[in-house]
Amino acid sequence: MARTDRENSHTEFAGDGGALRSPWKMAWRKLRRHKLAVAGMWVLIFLHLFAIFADFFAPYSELTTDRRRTYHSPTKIHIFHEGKLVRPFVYGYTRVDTLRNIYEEDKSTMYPIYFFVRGDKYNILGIESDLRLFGVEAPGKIYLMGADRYGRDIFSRLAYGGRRSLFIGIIGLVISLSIGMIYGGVSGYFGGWVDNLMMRISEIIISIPGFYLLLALSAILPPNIPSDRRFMLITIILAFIGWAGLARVIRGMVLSISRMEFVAGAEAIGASQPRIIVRHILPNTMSYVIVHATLSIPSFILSESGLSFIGVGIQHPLASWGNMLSEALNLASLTRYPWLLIPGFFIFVTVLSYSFFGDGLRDALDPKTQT
Amino acid sequence: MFRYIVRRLIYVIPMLLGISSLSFFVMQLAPGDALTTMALSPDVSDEIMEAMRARFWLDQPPYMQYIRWITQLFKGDMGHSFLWHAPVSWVIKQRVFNSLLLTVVSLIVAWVLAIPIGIHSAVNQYSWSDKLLTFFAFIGVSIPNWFLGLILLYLTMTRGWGFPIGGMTSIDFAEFTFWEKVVDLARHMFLPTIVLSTGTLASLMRYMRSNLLDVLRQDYVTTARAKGLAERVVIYRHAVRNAINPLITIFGFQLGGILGGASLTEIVMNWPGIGSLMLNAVQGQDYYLVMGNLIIGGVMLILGNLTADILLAASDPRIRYE
Amino acid sequence: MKRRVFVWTLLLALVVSAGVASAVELVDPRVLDLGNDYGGVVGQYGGTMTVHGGASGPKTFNPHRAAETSSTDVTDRIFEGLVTLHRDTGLVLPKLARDYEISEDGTEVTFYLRRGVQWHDGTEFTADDVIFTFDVVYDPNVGSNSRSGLLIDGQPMKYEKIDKYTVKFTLPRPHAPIMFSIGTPIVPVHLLGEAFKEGRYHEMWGLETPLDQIVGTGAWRVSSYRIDQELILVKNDNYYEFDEAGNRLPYLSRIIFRYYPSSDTATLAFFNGEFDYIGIPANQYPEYVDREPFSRWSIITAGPNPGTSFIVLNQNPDAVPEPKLSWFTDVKFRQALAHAVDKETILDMAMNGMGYIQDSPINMRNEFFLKKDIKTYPYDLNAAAEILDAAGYKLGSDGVRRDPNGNPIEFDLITNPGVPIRQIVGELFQEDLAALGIKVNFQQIDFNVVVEKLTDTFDWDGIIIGLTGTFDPNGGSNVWLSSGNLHMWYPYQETPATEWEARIDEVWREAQRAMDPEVRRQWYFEFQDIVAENVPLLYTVTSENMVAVRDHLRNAQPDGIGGSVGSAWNFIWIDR
Repeated sequence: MARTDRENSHTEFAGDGGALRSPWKMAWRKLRRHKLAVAGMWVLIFLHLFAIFADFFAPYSELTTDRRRTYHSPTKIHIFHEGKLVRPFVYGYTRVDTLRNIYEEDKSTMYPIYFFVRGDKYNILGIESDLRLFGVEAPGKIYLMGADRYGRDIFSRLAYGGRRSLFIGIIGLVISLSIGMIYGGVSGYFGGWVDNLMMRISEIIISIPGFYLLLALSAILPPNIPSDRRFMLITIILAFIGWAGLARVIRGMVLSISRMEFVAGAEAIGASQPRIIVRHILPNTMSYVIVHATLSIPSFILSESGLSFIGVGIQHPLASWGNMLSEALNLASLTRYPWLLIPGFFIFVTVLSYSFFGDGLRDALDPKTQT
Repeated sequence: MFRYIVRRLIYVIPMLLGISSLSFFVMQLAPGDALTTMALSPDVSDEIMEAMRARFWLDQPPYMQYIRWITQLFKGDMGHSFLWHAPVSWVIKQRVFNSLLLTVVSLIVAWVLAIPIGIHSAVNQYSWSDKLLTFFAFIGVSIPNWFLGLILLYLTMTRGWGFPIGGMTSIDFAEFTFWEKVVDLARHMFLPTIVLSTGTLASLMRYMRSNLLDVLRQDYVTTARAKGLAERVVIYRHAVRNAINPLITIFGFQLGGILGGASLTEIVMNWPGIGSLMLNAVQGQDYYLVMGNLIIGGVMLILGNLTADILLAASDPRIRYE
Repeated sequence: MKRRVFVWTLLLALVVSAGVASAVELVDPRVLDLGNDYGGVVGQYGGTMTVHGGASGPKTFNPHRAAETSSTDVTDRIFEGLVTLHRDTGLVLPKLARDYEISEDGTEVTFYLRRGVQWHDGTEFTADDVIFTFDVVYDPNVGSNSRSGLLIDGQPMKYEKIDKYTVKFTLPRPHAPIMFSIGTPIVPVHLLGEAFKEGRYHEMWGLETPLDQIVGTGAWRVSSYRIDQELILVKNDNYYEFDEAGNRLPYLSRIIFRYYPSSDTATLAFFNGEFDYIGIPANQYPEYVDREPFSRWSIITAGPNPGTSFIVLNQNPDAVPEPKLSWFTDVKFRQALAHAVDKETILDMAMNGMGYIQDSPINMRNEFFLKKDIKTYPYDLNAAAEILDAAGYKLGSDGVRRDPNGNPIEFDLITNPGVPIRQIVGELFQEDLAALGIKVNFQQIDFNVVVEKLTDTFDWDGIIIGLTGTFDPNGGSNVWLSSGNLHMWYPYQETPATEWEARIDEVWREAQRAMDPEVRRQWYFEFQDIVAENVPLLYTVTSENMVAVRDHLRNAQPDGIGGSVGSAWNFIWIDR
């Protein structure tokens, strides 16, 4: 696997030097033929938009609770009332079994669904607004995907949680990529004892199983910090675990690239070493890095859910797909409140989409593949 | 070759120092220590806390604790576990076999299934069976192990599949005959093995598929085909051998990981292995138990990689180590 | 089948008669009145009971090293104390002591030991073992959990051997609760004496010890332990308890503990028929209740669990800055906040309603000492707002409540992750206080950090935490005495900071001296009134103690006085 990738970058470098057709255009053309990859891409675009504009798509804020509606089941949307076609609406519900949290429709109350309604206030990019895509009038409630223990809307929390779960992968990746590329670049370029020492250090990081390192590091997060900073720290920790493997691959590639003529040429005209690394060598590892990136984002998302599973990830009441799913992973939820598993489905679809997309991207960036 | 092996083995020492010191100081950074939670027990007075801290050297500065531990290590003593009131080596010994059994079997299952499936997929690229297998492989990679585990347990219970839920052996295991023991173990291992091998199986077959596809595109394969060799011979005698070579590196890496355990899977499936032990140890700041485990894991990893290198040299005559 | 039963009974008869034969030397067998004491009938011998032992197994077999319940659940079967508590009434019953005598002035307790009791290795149990055990317990280097309960005003008791079967304890002053802590497990001097002299007691009887060396006097011996998987106890054939029909106890041949790190897995395993006895977590109650009608097991409910969960506000003047200190030390402020704890909803969300609202610090099982008519704080945000308004904490037009000096009221509230009820309490409390115009920053942080803040650095505003309860109220000494280390809101006070704390100190010591239970009860009633008025701890709810037991097990009830697993297993038997 590492071997084929190394070959990729060689050929790509040759393509760059030739500057005939843009390799990116070719890749895009090939990617478009890869149906699963395209599907994955669209799903990802949709999910990210859903998360970014959570305030608009979600009928409620992620923190809006309703303690009389513990584990409310998803509300059915009706279009017929007393045999007549009407505007889509939901019925009011009453809790008929408090032990098992069973809710039944109360046919005497009707709450029509309106679009572009005023709901909970929010602030996006400095703009205050309360415009939401849809909603029903209070005291009615619309739970497209049911409610959690506190009566919070799962659908809304999915949108807000996506902000953390999706972007933890992207931000974490950016951090671990930068560390990995710089570290690997320096190590491979200098070679010799510097390389040797740096690789031994990265081996140490690699040989400690990531999950335990994660666990130990999450215990040193300072208490009493605002939740957004905690989110960033968790991301940094995740990135800290992921960089070493990447650094080693980059180093191998740099090692072979730095033996090539154009580097000697750059050195001959007196370019400084950091400049050579950043401007000339690293760009040639790009295609590998892009593929690696798409394929490793899922591991960040899964790690976050693993951390939440043992209770040290993103903290309640803020939502993340991981901590929402961890709420679902007990017997009671599996048997009675299966809608709590929906975040798991979102994680699954995201990871799957990234895999499809990354796989297609790999084929697309590999000059050897035809069809 | 021999000198290469010796040199690789010498690397072990600084590696282990690095692993143990990194893990020790990371755990030290976390507030409190293994005894902190005891302070909330109404029965434990401050006096007793101090006596216990002194006994375990927890009242010393961290670097002194570390130096003491390292000197002990060179005498073959991995220190004392706070949580277990017992020597670390003894605690690990209780679990090593269990983890080894589960991971090795899962590895074997994954490899034995992944290679033929990967070959099939590559040879019949873009056939419906390849697409189906690819799809399942992606699902296998995308589903978290512990999630799969919980779902399997739940299905076992509700559907009455008859597998035991959790644990490694039946109660009367000690009185069983040898074959009864084997059957009993196999029954208990069935679900955890599925859970643990799914991810590996899925990714391995993807690797095998893409490697074989790469090889099949190479010139010598075309030459062999042109010479009129039977397709079967071309694929199985020549291509597959070359496609497997890169996987040996992965094998070495996995070999190194077999003692790391799979903590979440072990907890959900109630498998008494190293993974769940480690999880408790890390959370309970049982420094020496964690370090002992990591040291053993580190040695395994280095040996695994070394084995892979040697295997690679044996199977690929172009590779020489100096 | 019938023949086999016959052979069985014949065998048993032989065993029993052998037991009776040796009982000639046994001067003092203990005969249990099953009908009166345990609501049971005479049982049949043999069989195995498999019990869910919790998330993990024992960490040591040394009863004076065992700190965690996973260890004491097992050591309590192997080792016994001089006295024990009645499993339903909590009254003191003789055990290894056949009888005891308290002197008129309450400062001398004499124990007459049961004669002819054998350690599992056949050595006779004598006064030397008792003396040795108390040497061990009082040695701070051993770190026994029993130690603090056996100190009276920080002083150890004096104890001396009168003869082979008599031991006398001399107390520095009368101390009524002493009988509740004196039943510490007795350990054998002939096996551990040497190690204790050499200062190695704490190294003894760890998990690596060969199991036949673990020797107690109890009805059970450990026969095998596969760490954190299962532990097998086999019965002690020479045990000194008999039922009223003259049968030597225990009836069962084996008890097996199985350990499951995940309680969901354990529940699934129980439904799968893999064991006989399991504690039901309140949040899984609906699963059990729905399956019970068509299963061969039943749910037994046994009253409130002794543990507590509460919110505490920091009143430590050395650690809390103004203006927070004046809010937290203002009794009106605390009373108002107590009204903002939505106990009904907590009960509903955390326990499916299977629990009790808690108002008093006294263990709810201890009905003798529990005062029913104390001041309570039902959930009522209007009442809370009224109290706050009256005390000068006014709600501004911006929705922010300010103290009389105009400071907006805002504080931090922390708890540890992984305990659902604390999370629920925190989130609801945060929301309710927000409705009152008070901003609470609720966070879950690492348990070790919470403990360090509570016991060492004291830099916190509010904490949600719980304590395990003891049956006798005096177990709360280090919580309620102002000098106590767990007097969470202001620990280690040299002199009581407030009048009501000073009064609690007095009342508490009076209760300790009161040898007459009725007098003692009056003191604890006053104590409960003071606590209810001053609300240093905002109590929430406690769960119902529930177990599921297979129908073929007889006498398998959980203890009335609490605890995770029933204590008196010697008379459980299997109905075939």
